[in-house]
Amino acid sequence: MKPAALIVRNIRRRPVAAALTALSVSLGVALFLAVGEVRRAGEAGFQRTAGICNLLVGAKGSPLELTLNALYHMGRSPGNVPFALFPEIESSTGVQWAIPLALGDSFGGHRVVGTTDALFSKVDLGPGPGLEFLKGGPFSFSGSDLVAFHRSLDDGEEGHSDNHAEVFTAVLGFEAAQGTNLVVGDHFHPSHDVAEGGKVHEDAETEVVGILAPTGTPLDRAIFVPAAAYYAMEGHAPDVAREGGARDPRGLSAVLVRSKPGFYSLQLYAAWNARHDAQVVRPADEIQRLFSLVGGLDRALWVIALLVLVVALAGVAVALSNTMASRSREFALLRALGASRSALLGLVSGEAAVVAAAGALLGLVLSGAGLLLAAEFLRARTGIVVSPSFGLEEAGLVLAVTVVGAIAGLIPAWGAYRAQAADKLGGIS
Amino acid sequence: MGMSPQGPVFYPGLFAMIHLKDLRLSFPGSPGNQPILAVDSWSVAEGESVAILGESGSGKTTLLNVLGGLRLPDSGIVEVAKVDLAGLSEAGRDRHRARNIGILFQTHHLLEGFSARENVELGATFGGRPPDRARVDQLLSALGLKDRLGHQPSELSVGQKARVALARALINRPKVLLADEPTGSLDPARAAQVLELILDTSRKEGVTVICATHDPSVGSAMDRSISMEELR
Repeated sequence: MKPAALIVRNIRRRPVAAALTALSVSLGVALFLAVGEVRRAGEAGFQRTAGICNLLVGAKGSPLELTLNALYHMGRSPGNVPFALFPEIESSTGVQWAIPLALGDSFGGHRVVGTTDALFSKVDLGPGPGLEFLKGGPFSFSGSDLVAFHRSLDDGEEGHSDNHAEVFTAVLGFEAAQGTNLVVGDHFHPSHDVAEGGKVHEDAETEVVGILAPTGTPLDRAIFVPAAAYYAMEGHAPDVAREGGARDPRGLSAVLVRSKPGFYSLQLYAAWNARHDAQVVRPADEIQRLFSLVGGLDRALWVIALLVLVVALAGVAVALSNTMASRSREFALLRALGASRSALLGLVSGEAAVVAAAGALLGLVLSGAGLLLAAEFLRARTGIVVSPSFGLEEAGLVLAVTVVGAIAGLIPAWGAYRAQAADKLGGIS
Repeated sequence: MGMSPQGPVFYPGLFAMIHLKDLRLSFPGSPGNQPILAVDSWSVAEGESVAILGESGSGKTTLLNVLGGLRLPDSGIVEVAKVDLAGLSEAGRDRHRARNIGILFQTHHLLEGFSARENVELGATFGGRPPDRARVDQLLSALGLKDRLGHQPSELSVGQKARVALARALINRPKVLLADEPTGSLDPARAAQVLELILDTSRKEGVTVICATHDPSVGSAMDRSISMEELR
């Protein structure tokens, strides 16, 4: 019988204890992997969203607040920038595209975003530019249409579109469609303000014309309308007293910008940040900063998961230690059969390693299954898209748990190592 | 036998399978610090079967432990299978024991959870030789256990357990078999049967047998017997 077979047979002699010990290790490993995956997916999700545009122009104030509000639809808008900035940005050298955002309304807990159809054709979340539609298609409202619309406002018109049916259309993000139960062809009335209880825009019956495929970004939770519809709603009408300021109802909440490749990003960043009426931020940098701010909590979670794993591995040593007294004659017998002290050390330590390895492998399966089961919940509640993977990191973890298990097994093995076989066999004559 | 300037020198270990010389062993706290083992000179020839007779506590098991390399004497020479055990490291004694010494226990010490065949294979685990399943089956068959190979110890009778333990002790083709009260837990009829099996199989295998016992009838079945008192 080979020593490896002896190790396996010894474990099979105590199936319940071995299974429970392996299960505790598997729970530790599963928690460790799950925390790691949620952490990775959370950061990746934030970075993916931050990658919608490389520059973000908005009102002066906190760059992080601007980023979170404009891209992640969190918190309140720090203020507006003058509308005139949009055509200026759009026509700047080095700008590949610019997409205006007008925020402030909502429906059914989902934010209503006034924008242009460039959002659907230009934003690139891979594999190529443009967002995929599950049902219907985009509304038709370009940046030029928006500029023309504003010009008409300047000319003294009231702000209501001549073509009501065309302007009051909406494209729903995937989760917004699920959350509101709206389908293409349905109508709804947005509410003023992003908080619940806002005044309903009775004058703005809006028709759903398209539903986006899931993107794994906050775009999934938003409702997009032509910016003209936003300005045409009651409460967003021109107000000469507030024009040009941060509360200018004709201003824009933010402008998403993708610069052309090269040094344009740096040039635009420097040029626009010199202005007194707006700031430009790099969303990716802001998200990086956010993660460094919340890194302490992140690390605390990781440490807790690691501690659970360490306790589970200590459990392997404890479980084996509990069997040592009843196995003293077995070890004495093995010594009598020619096993050296180091062979006993290897056998006991090997048992711990096998149990730990089995637990680690089971933990991989549990974490994968758990993440798959929780994926929908996480995506719906947090927008985090988890995808369990089995790669080098996971293989490394299994190996590390096995090695640490073997080391933990040395503690009970030491008793077997030190025991005098002759003393244990002495009672047989 | 050899020559020296002082004349012929006798090396008993050269011709004996077991040779003890000036052996002393005492345990801490023993009355009057008397050694539990004190053997001036004693040898056993190759293939010989010897019974060591003595009452409980007379030191029979301790002597077997010394011969098996499980315990070192305080002083003296212990040659087993032509190797002085005191000259070996502990790991060396373990290797020597695995390859050259079979041990048979009164209570058999079969491991539960292991079949009869696996218990015998266990004896070959540490010998450093490749597993020989044919040898296991051949031994168990010769001992009348052909139809009990897959049985657990709890499914075997006392006599069958004794035979499995004998097969385990012989699996490595040892030169020496140390048996500690091998018939102590058996009724007289079964004891005679097991003893015959031990001696018969050992003769066929050419094994030197040392059997510690308190039963004089066991002694009479061996080539010779010696009491612990005579050994001192």
